Amino acid sequence: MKYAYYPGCTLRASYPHVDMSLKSVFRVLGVELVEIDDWNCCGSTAVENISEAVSLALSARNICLAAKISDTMLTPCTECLLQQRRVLYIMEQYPKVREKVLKVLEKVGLEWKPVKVVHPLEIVVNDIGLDKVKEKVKRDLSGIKVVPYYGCLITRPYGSEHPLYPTSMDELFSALKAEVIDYPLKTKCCGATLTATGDERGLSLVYQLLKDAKRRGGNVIVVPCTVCQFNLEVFQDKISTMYGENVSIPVLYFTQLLGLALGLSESELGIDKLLVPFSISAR
Amino acid sequence: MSREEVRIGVYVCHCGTNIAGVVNVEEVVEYIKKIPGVVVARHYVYMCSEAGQNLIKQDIKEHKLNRVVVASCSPNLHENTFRRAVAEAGLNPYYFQMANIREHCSWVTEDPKEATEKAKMIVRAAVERVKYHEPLEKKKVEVKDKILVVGGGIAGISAALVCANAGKTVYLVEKSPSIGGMMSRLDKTFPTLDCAACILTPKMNEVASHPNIKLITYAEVESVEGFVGNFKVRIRKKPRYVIEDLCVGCEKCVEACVFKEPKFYDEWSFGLKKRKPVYIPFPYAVPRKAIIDPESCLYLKYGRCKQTCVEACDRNAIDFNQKEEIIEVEVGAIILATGYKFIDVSKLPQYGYGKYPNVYIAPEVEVMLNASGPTRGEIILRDGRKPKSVAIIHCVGSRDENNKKYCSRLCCMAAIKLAHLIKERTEAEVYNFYIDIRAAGKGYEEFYKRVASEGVRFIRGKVAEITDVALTPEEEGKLIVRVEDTLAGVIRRIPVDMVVLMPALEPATGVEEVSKMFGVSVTEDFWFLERHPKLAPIATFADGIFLAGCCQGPKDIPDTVMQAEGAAGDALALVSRGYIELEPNIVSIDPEKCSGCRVCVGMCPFGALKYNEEKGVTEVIEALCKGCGTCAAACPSGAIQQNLFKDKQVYAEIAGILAVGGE
Repeated sequence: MKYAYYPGCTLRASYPHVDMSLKSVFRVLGVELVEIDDWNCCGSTAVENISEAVSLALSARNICLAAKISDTMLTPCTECLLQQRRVLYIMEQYPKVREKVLKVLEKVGLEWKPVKVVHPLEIVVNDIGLDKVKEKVKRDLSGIKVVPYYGCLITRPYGSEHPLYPTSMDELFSALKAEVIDYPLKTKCCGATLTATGDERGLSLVYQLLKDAKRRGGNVIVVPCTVCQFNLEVFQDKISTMYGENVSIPVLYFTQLLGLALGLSESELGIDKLLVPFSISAR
Repeated sequence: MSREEVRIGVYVCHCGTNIAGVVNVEEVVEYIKKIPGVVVARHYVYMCSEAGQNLIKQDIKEHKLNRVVVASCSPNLHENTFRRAVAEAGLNPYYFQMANIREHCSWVTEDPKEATEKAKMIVRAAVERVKYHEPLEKKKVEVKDKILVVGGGIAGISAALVCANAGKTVYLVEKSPSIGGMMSRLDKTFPTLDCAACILTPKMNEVASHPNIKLITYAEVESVEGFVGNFKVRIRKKPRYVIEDLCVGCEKCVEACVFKEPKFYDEWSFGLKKRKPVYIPFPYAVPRKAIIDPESCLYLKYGRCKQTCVEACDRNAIDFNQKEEIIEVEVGAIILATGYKFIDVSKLPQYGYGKYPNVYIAPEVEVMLNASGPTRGEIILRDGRKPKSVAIIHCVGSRDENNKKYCSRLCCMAAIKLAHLIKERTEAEVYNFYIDIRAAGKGYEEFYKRVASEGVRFIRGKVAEITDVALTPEEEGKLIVRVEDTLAGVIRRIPVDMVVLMPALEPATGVEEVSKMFGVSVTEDFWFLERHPKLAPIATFADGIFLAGCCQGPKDIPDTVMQAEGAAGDALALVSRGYIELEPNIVSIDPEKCSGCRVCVGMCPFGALKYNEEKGVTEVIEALCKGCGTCAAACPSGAIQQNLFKDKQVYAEIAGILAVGGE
């Protein structure tokens, strides 16, 4: 299994430990990741306000470059994933926009070639399969109460699971013998960029998520989304003070917890870099 | 053929101004008169009137006519009228041809000149064609005077009783151990709040005791052969392991069962209560006989049990050696009343069914309200509490682009009824969450207004989710309904103790096999397809097979009974006559010309063609042929000719049309 790997700015700059865990886990699972040469921004930021064609062409360029490596591209950052899937959709459905993007690509000497864009969770569950993952388990996760939280970007609108009630992480961690908590808020809003201003409207959303995860007895929240991981992790102290309630709970990218089950060390998975510490021995 | 002199009468109808307002009928008559063979040509204001028909009859006698053409409307409307008139004058009715100059001409051609020219062509084609018509006879086929009803819910029961009261033998086949269907679960019915059991049980008992009804429960139709009037049906009756003739329903066996506590899923109560392996489906079951479930009975499953039930039965009714039984019947008509089921709402995770114990589906609550149910009519939650607030959610899966696009029709009224009953028995605050209230029935709107005035709350909005995540202390321990109140324009969170979901209806399990077995078409949602949505809502495209109740689409009890009794009427009309006449426009195969290639066999949609191995030619089963003409068109050797559409007739018609254009 060979995938064209697109880390994006998040994994390169703000979440290098997710990048580490991902590579470590896929090495153990026998998945080859080839980083796309000379990749650029996914275009999901403010670019669209300046030029729609440029913002779409940014991801279109990455997709064309990925096609040189594999017919499937791996994008762990859900913001990038959404933008890339959006570009694939628009290129197929909107011929007029497509023409504009093709012109931009032509200027850099690229020919449009769509690839399939997947999230690492989809590779683990669909491409590798839980049976194969189970074979590689070195220490199971029994005793850990896992709260799977999916957020919105991976589920809507281009997700492959039920948009309101995905279950792939539930199944994955059940297979690893963790105690998976049925978490009704699994696709509710994490506050997204509302939290950036420190506004209570954003933080109250995070508060609900953390509070309910703890109320249901969770030891750890697992996420497939770096935006969620950021929001759920970063503001815990502030929220605890604001609401006069301890909401502290570790938040792991799903490959970090999966990696522990596969026998990888905490440093190989970047778990030592988490803001809220987590240790499998201190369950 | 050695032909007598052809003497044709042609009648051009004005149809008031429908035709004459555009077509110059006098000009058409003048033109037609000149065609060789035409003896009389007239126009008249309404040919279908008695005076118009008399005109034809008179001319046949006076002018010794032997062919008749009427140029008027579509043959769908009046072909039979004119054929009858021709026959009454002593002529074979198939010496008649109809020319459609209304739907095909005056209604669709604006310019009077063009319309008149077109009318001339159409009439001339008919005149040329009718010259080659041959006398035909309708074939009579005997019809068996027995009727099969499939499904023993209120639809099947109603249909069976009407047929039986008319003196016909009825076989009523029911899949489950008792008749009664969905209605047997209800406590009260809308809008009159009649006690369901009080109105249903007399009918169920009447079915059981009716001398003309052969009730076959715990059985399914296995195969159907034959055609309208002559169906051969095989029914597979599953073993009950209790001899029905001996069992008196005393329940001693149930008490004596080695399972002291009931612990198995009870079908009648949708699992709300449990049953033992030996059980009586419900107190007023018909037949009220015990049944042993082979899936849970220790003896039947593992071959080891003390068989305390056998000991307890003083009538020796228990028979573990009972085998499946095949019953063969011959019937003239079939009524399908296979009903519906509810969709699996656990597939809609936003409503929390199966996750939160206090989320119920409506049929469970119906059983709970039923005096024969597990709580004897009380509303008691799974945790033993009485609810202080209840939310009823309409359109769960109905009117939903992601699920069933259709309206399930009975849920609005059922929800309002449940609201009334729940409020009456618990004094709880009851909320209805609806998209639109559909109360289009006799007394329905009044019932809705009445329940609203009783203080039941109605909130217009599609519920987004049911959650147990509390945001405020008041919400703690409650189920919270999140909804956009579209009348007030606000998002609401309403905490309640109990949620009742009104699930969409879908056709009963096995509908695909049933549709194939009986040759009945289905809609895209697998409801059985009626012959015409307005004018033939009971008949199907399979002659002799009629529909009753929800198998044709969601409907409430009044509509179900109406359709069921209508189906009985249709079935009786068919079997009472004792015979059916087959239209003579069927095909015949010339064995001299048939090469036995069998191209036609696969094309016939009615299975009317059969290859005769011995003779090496294909033959027609006349009773099955519908005269569609597909095979006649496909036959490479021209061996298949269809009555009324023989090659020479069709060619003459074409020649008739072209002749006008050429002049």
